[in-house]
Amino acid sequence: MKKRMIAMLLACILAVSTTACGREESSADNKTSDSPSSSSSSEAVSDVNDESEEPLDPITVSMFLVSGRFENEDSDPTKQYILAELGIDMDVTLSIDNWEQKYSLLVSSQNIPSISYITPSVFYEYAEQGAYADLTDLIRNYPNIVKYISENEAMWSRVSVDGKIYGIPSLNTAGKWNITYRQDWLENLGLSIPETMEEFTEVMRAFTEDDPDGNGVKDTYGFGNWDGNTLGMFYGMFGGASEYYHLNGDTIEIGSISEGYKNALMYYKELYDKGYVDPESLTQKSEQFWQKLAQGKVGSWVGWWSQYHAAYQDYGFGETQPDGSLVLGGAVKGPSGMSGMIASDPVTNVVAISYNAENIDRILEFIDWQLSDIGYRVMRYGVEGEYFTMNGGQLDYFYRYDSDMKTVSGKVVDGDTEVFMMFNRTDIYPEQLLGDTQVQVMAYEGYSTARDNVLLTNEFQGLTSEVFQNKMPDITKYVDEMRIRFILGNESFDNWDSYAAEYIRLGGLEVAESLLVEYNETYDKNATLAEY
Amino acid sequence: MKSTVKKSLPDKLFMAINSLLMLCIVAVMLYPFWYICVGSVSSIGHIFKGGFLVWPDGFSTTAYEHVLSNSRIPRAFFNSIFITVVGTLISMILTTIGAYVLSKPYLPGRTGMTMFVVITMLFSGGLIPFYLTVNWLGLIDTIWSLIIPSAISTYNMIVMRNFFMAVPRSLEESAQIDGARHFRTLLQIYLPLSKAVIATVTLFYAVGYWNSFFNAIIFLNKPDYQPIQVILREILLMSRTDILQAQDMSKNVPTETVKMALVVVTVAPIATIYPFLQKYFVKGVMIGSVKG
Repeated sequence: MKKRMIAMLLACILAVSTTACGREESSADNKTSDSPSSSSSSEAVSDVNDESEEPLDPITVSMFLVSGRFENEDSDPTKQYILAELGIDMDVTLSIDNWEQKYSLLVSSQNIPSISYITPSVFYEYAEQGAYADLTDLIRNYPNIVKYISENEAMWSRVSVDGKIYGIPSLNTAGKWNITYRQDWLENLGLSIPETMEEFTEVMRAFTEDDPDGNGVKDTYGFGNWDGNTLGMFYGMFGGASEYYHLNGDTIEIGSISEGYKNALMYYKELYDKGYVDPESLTQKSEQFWQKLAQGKVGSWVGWWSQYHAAYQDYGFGETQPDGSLVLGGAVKGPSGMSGMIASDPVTNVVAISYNAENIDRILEFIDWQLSDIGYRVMRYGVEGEYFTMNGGQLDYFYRYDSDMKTVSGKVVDGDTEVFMMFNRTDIYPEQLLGDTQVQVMAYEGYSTARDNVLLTNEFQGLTSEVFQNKMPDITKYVDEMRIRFILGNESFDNWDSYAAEYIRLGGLEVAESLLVEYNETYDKNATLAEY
Repeated sequence: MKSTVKKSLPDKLFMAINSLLMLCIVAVMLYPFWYICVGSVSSIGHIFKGGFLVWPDGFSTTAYEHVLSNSRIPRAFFNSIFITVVGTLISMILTTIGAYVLSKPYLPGRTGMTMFVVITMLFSGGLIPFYLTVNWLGLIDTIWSLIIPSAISTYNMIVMRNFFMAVPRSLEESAQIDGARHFRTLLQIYLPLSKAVIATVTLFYAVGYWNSFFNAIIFLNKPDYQPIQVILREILLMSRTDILQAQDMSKNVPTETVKMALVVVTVAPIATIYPFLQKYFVKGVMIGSVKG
């Protein structure tokens, strides 16, 4: 018995002592360690001019990109080129599945990647805690970065914390949505692309009731959608989008409880009740929508610009509807003449450098190169001379122009050359959509139509605050639920005021006020909210 | 019922209806897999036409060629097989030894140790400490990070321990008298008697290793050691329309047929092996319940 007691005591002591030992690391607290400015201001400002004369020592740069792509045989030449020409050995981690968790683990184990390409909200979270290098003074020395940003001054405020710049925004156009119609149906019924609300309603009615595919069966709907996809065009017709904030006169109003949003829902409900809209639109998944399109059941939809050519490229529209054709329309005008597709966030991602990165000057040089005319093209298209060729400053040949996707030497590009791409040059981008293949033509059309559309913007785009992060998920859930209830008729529009009151009770006004503070600070304005 | 002949009619009827019902349920459950098999050899248009797919429209192997020629996939397959085989081996060795030791009533500190082990089954330190431990061990970005940190499943060890406890002590004592030490006793007395529980626990581990993806996502930064499940998730889940559009993807999205072929290629090995091991599985589930 005594032996047992002693043995048990020893075992427990052993157990307890092993839990106590281990690395003495401030694991979770490293975020509050050194302030970023102290480490980066001691970095010497590089002499960019010297580099071109000496051969560069290769340095390894760890990179973390939020992307579903993967390195392949067509991205290897790019990697080799960058190693040879710039001396940068890219150690890339591409992650999309559970990427936020993975990134947070890297940060908490003190392995912040030298270059991080992440979403703006996650960037802001870590920037506030000092994970990134202060680039405010360094950026001035890099001409391409300066040029890129001077064309987009307002965007700098999105990547600054307390007036210091911690990242470089990756920009894109804000117009990304299009409405697409069945062109053959329009022709069969002698209709033209609708521009006003009345015309649109008539087209919807005709698509549903007048047998546009001529098969004698009433099996078509005017409009289709899938869950989570936006009723963007309808919001634009009335000037109110859910979860957006609109400048109405002198004040900013909350989109989710605005008159415009209510009218948009009422109009959509009208179409829905009359049977012009596929009743499964609110709940089905995107795959089911594509099936219905392929079966010829849907006459129009609002979608991302690339879905116009994806219908042919990925969803077999050409095979399943050989006599069908698609055409893009512009944003339909509402009763007051307003129109617009909802604007996407022009800052899609942010590139940040870790606060303790070595060779920050070389890294910034690399980024500067990526924003140059040639660097952008190499990162996107692949190595010059093989995947694309230039002629007098213009793109001459690009493998996507070929219907078999062949390079200059005849190799078929089966993989993906855009793997490492971090920046978009909206002035150069459209050139890759030129070409004669059907997909290219449709892609160019889709992109330019979406880009040039009238847009309904969000004044508080990309802004965040603590209140926003705490309360917004519940508020969004409530708004989404109520939207469906209003459309289905489970909730009457007479109760709109109690819906608005509940929105405010859940914290909607608090969130708006906190974002207003950020807005005024960031853009140096003096805006006020509407009366609530 | 008066005679035995008449008695069998309602029985036969019952059997007939029962079988029919069961066949219907089997059909309903097998259909999704059949759909995928059919879809993987059809053309895209055939799939998007919607409705019930019963037969493919032609037999095209382009999807399979695409899947198997992609260099990531055979490699990921090899990784999965390696992780499953080596992982199960390591896990089984460690679990058996641990269970054997914990089953001996004369082990000093046995209650304490068992409690210590069971606590880890109920509580976990959390993801960040786990990651830090694996990082400190230098296992990040190696294939061992998928095997070593999760080598022993406490639940399986307890199951084995209970089984070993049920082996009569007299066997062990007689082996001791004949001069066998513990290791030999384990190998030559206990293991031959425990075939059922060993098969069961092996199967539990093997399936667990084959299906694991989360550890791979967290611990692996490079795609070299990724198991097939991670690739599957990426290709099937991450290429859904709504997720893609946020990235302006202008690359070739894997088509529906390729996705289906990928599923078939991944499920086929397990689906073929399973029927042979099934009898052990069924027996094994009952292991802890009845003595003797």
